[in-house]
Amino acid sequence: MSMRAGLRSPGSRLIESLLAFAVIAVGVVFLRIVHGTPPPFGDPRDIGSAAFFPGMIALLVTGLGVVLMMSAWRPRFSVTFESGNTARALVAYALMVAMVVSIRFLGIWLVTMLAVPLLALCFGERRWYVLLALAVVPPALVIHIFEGAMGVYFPRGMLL
Amino acid sequence: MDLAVVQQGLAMLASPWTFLALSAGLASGILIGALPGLTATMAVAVLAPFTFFMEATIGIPFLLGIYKGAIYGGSIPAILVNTPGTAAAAATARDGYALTQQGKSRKALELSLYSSVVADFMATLVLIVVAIPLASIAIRFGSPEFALLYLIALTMIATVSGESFLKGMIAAGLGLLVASIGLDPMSGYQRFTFGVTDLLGGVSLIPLLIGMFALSEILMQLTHPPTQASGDPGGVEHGGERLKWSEFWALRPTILRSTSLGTFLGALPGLGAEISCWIAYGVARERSREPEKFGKGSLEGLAAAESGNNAVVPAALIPMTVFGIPGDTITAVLIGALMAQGMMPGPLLIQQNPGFLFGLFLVLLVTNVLLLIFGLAAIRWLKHVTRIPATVLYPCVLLLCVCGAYAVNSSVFDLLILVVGGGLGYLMRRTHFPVAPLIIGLLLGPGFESAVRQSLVFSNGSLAIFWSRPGSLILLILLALVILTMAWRGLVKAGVVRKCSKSHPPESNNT
Amino acid sequence: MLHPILSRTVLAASLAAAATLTTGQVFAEESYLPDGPIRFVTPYPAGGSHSLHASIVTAVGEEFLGRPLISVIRGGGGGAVAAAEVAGSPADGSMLLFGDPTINSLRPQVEDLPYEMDDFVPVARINYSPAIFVTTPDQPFKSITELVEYAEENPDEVVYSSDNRNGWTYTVFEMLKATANIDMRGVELGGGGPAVTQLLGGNTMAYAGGPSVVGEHLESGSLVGLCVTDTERYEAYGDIPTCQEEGYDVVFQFWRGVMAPAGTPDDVIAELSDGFQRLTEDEGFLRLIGQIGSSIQFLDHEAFAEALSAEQAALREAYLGE
Repeated sequence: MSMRAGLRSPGSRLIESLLAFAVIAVGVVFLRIVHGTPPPFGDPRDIGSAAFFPGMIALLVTGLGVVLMMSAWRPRFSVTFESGNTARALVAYALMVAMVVSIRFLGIWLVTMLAVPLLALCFGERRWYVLLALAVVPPALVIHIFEGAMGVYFPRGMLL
Repeated sequence: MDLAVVQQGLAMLASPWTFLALSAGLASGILIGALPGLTATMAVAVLAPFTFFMEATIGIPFLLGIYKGAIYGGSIPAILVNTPGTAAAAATARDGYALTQQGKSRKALELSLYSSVVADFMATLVLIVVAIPLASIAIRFGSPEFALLYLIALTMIATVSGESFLKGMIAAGLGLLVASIGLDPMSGYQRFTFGVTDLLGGVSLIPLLIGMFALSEILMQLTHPPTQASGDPGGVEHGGERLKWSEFWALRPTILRSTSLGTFLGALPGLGAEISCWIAYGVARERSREPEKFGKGSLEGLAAAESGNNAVVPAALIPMTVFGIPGDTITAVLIGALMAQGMMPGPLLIQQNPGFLFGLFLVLLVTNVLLLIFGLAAIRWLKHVTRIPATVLYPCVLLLCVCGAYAVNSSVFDLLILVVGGGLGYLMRRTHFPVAPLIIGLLLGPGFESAVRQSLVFSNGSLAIFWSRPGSLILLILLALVILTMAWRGLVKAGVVRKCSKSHPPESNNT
Repeated sequence: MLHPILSRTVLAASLAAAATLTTGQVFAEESYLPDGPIRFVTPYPAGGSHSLHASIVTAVGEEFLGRPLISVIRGGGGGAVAAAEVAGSPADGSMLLFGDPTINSLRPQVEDLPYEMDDFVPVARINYSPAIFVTTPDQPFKSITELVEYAEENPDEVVYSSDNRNGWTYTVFEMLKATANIDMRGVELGGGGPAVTQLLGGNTMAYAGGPSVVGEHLESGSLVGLCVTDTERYEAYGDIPTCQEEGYDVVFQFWRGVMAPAGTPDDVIAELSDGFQRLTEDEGFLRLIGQIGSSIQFLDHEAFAEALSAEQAALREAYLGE
C-alpha cells in the first residue's frame, strides 16, 4: 500500500469509540430481546432452547464491544484510518439505495438504465456516448441473459 | 469389474451426444458460476427440467458439467473484481483479488484453474475407488460430531482475522447474530424478525455476501481511485506474468492437504463447498511458512481455497451414489433429475445399472480435461478484463450484482439486504474490521446451533454425548489440539510483536 | 442402447403433436387469465420432493394453461415466506402457490404466521402421498405394534428423525404418540435428507416420510416399513399395512396442491383448475410423475375445497380441541 494521508490519533479514537458504541448497542438490543419478559424464545439459560445460543453470542458481542471501547482509550492507541474520497462513495451509496428502493415502482429496466450510467458518472466518465452506451447495452444484455436463460422475471414498473 | 459394465461405460463416453452435452453444460456452468448470484444449485435446479425429456446419458452429464463448471466459475469474478460468483469462492477472493491488485491476475486465474482441476481429479479417483468405505464412515457421523466439526471450523475465524483479533471476533459475533435471525426450525419461534415477513426465512446469504464483497469494492474504488493509490497500471494491463511450473510444484503439499480435507468434508452429508474452502484456507495458513502473506496475495492461500472447494464436488456424490442420500443441495437436485430418468441413485443403481454409473465416473474424469481446456481458453480472454476502465467495469459489476441478488429468491427484499451488506462491508473495510470472520460466522452459525441442540435431544440433555461417542471423542481431542496450537502461536507472536514495536512496525512490501 | 432412444423419440414426437393440439384448443376459447407468465411458487428450497414435483409441473404446464409457467423457488421459514408473498400478490391468477397441508391447514392455526388460512382459495389438488413409518432392520421392533410396545416399556428412549416443528413427519409422530399414548423423542433435523441419513447411520431409530424419500431404501432392504398413514395400502409397497389396520388411527395425506390468493375471480379459478386437470391427464406428465415414484390423485377446485375444509377442521379439533 502506498502512503495515504491518515487520520491522526484523536480522529481515529473518536471513530473507534463510535464503532465500539455501535457494537455494544447491537449486542444490547439482541440481549434485551432474548431476556424479555416473558422470554420470547424460551429460557436463555437452557442450552437446548432457542434462546441460549443467540443470548450467548449477544453477550459476547456486547463484551467485546466494551473491550474495543477500552482499547480505543488506552494511552498507546495507535490505529490510523486512511482518509479518502468518502463523499464520492457516499453519493454512490445513496444511488444504490435509491435504486433498490425505487425498483418496485420504476421496474428493472428504468432503474438499471439510470443507475449504470449514473455510477459511471460517479467514476468520472463524462463522454456522453459512453454513458449512453452504458445505459443501453449492459442492461439489455444482462436482463435478457437472466430472463431468457435462467427464467428469472424481474419486477416491472409503471413504464417498462 | 464385469467386462460388460466397462464396455457400457466406455460406450457412453464415446457417444458424441454425451460429449457435446457435457461440453455445453460445462461452458454454461462456468458462465453461470461467474455471474454473481447465479449459484451452482440454482443453475442445476433451473436447468434440470430440460433434462427430463432427454436420454439419461445426455441429460445427466449435462447437469454434472453445469455443477462442476459453476463451482469453478465462481472463482473468476472473485479473482478479477473481488466479487465471489458463488459463496464457495469467498475464500478465493481474499488472495486472488490481492494478486490482481498486484497486476498478477493471469497467474491467479491459472493457479485457480490448475488447483481446481487437480483437486477435482483426485477427489473423483477417491469417489471411484473408496466411495463405499468412506461413505460408511461418513454416515456414522451424527449431530455431536457435526457440532464439533463446526466448532473446529469456527476456530478458523482466528486465522482469517488479520491484524486485529478483537475486531475479527466482533465480526464473527455479528455474523453469528445475523445467522440466528429467522424462524427456528426446532422450536418454531420467530427470532429477531422485528415483524418483517421476509426475515422469517433468515437473512439471505448470497445477497449479503455479494453486497459485502462487490458493492463495498465499488465504494472502495471510489474512495481510493486506483490511479492515485497503486501506480504501475502497465503491469496490470496485460494480466501480468504466467504461473511458473516451479511455483505450482512447490504448492503440492498445500493442494494435497486441501484436497483431502475437501474430499472428507464433502463426503459428509450436509457440509458443502462454502465451508470447506474456509477450513482448507485456515489449515493452509496454520501450516504455512509464510502465514503473514495470507490475504495479501499468497499463492498458497489461493491454491488451498480453490482445491478445498472443488474437491467437494465429486466427494458430495459419494453419499449419493452409495446410499442415495444427498450430500448437499445440489446433489439433492441431481437425485431428482436422476429419478425423473427412472433411476434412483443408491444401492439399487449400483446393482441394477452399474454400466451407467461407471460411465458417469468416466465422464467425471473426462470433465476435468475439458475444464482445463475451457479454463485456459477463458483465461486468454479474461486477462483482458483488468484492462476495462473502471468507469465501465464497476457500473457493470453493480448491474450484475443487482440482477444476481434478485435472482436468488426473486425477492425485492434481498436487494435491500444487498445494499445493507454493501454499506456494512464498506464501513468495515474503512475501519479495519475483517469481513471474512463475519461470513464464516454467518455460514456456520445455523449448522452449529442446530447440531448442538440436536445432540442434546439425542442425549436427553446430557453434555456427555460430546465425549462418550468414539467419533466425537476423537474430534474433541482434535479441537483441543487446534486451540492449544493456536493459543501457543498467539503467545509467541504476542511476544515477538512486543519486541518489534519498539523498533519499526514492518511495512507491507508489495509493489 | 438404440431401442430406448428410438422409442423415446417417438414418444416425444407424439407428445409434441398432442401438445400443439391442446394449445390450439386453449387459445380458441376465451381466457380469463391475465396476459403474461404465471408464477408457480414452490415454498421450499430446491432439492426436495416438493420442488421436484413443481419442476415437472412447470416443465409441462405451459401447453395446458396457455401461459408460460415460471417456476419460482422461494424457500425460507418452512414455507411461510413464500405463502405470505403469494397471499399478498394480486388476486388475478398471475401467482400461484404450490401448497401442502402444513402450510395451508396446520401451521396458520397453531403458529403466529404473517398469513391466514383464509388468504388462499384452492385451485386443484395434484396428488397426495401418505407417510410411511420406517425403521432400520437392526432395531428391536419390526412392526408398528412392536414399536409402540417397546416405547411403552422404555418411555422416552425411542429417538426418531423428525423434520421441522409442525412439519409433516413431526405431525404424524405427534398423532401416533397421542393415539398410542406413548412418549418418544423427536430430533428436528430440518428435512427428509438428513433425517434418513441419521436413521441409516444408526443415530435415530425411526422416521416417517413419503414414498419418494424412503421408497428406494425400502426396496433395497436398508429400511423396513412399519405402517402407512392412509386409509388404504400404498400400491407399490402392498405388504406394508395401514396404521388403521394395526389399530392406530393415524391418517395423514400429504397433498400437493395449487392455491391462489383469496379474491381471485371464480372464472380464473375454474379455468386454472381445468388446465391442471388436462395437465394431469397428459401422458408425458404421467410418465415423469411415475418415474419419480409418485402418482396422481387429482381433485378439481370444488372437490379440493371440500376436502381442504374437512382437513382443516380435523386438524383444528386434533390440535386445539375446538
